[in-house]
Amino acid sequence: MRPLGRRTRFGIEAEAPEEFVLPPTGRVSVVPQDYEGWLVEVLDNFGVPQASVELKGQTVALEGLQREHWRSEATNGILTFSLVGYKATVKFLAADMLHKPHDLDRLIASVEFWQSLVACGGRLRILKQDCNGDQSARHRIAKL
Amino acid sequence: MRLDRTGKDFVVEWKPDGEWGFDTRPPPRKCQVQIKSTRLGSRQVRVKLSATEWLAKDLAPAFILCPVIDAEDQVDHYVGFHLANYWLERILERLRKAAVKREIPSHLSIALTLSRGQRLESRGVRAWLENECGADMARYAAEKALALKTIGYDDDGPEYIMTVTVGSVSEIVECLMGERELDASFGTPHPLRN
Repeated sequence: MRPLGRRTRFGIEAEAPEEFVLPPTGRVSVVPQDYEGWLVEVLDNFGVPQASVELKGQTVALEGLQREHWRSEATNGILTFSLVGYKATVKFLAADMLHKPHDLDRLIASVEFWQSLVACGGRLRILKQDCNGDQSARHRIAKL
Repeated sequence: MRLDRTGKDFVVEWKPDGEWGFDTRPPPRKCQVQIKSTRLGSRQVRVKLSATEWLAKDLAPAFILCPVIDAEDQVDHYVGFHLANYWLERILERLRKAAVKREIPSHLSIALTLSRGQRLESRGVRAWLENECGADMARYAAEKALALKTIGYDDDGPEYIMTVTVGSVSEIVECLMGERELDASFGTPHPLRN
């Protein structure tokens, strides 16, 4: 085995200092890219879906990480959902509608969803789509 | 006019693409070309290693173009060498060995075997250069810069154990959500994989 900290190029060991393997200094940042597909449904008192909306979500729920630190968030640019521990929060980003262009279908679906959510008393169900498209495997019902 | 000592006999430039706005159009296609003529029947040409280093390290496409001269002193055909991939590796390897032996690149030469180059007729030179350069000079430069840094290394780079320092667990969660950066320190590198 060659000495620790040296690299070889074309079979020739490093001579230049910049080629020695030295620990870098740095900071760690993460850009989440693997978004989950979320389908969120408003439920009436009998558990029947009244409206739904699809969003892109991301979740941090690691084995060994206490549940109070778990976080899930999802947005479609108009609605945002946040789950922290046992607390669920839904926001309707009305101010963003004035400044950002939005797809008309998504806008209508979001407004209908919000109206149903208010009318039905804040009962909703979150279906998270797993990698093979199965939405039934993981779901969570929240009452705002 | 000053004599060019770095081997770039010609800087070949194309007109900017006219389909774009002046400020948004991409960098125009451009390449470096060194001419190295030879006689019909020759099997190889020799180029100074120092000249090939200038060409190889330039992030623009670089070529050595060999007009092959016949008995009537006319160009019979051309042989083109694109200093990328195989030839870039050859040049970097020669430079590496020269550095270890404390040799001077301008005293050394590298042989280009004509049969390994691209035989071209006069009318085909322009199209070949255009094709080899591609249309995206920024991408070409990025790929060449990466190749210059990575070609020939006998490993994939070092492995480290990273230690992240946080004040609370929520900082880790926020980092994983893409909301915060964390300080990291690295231990001594692990033995490299071959």
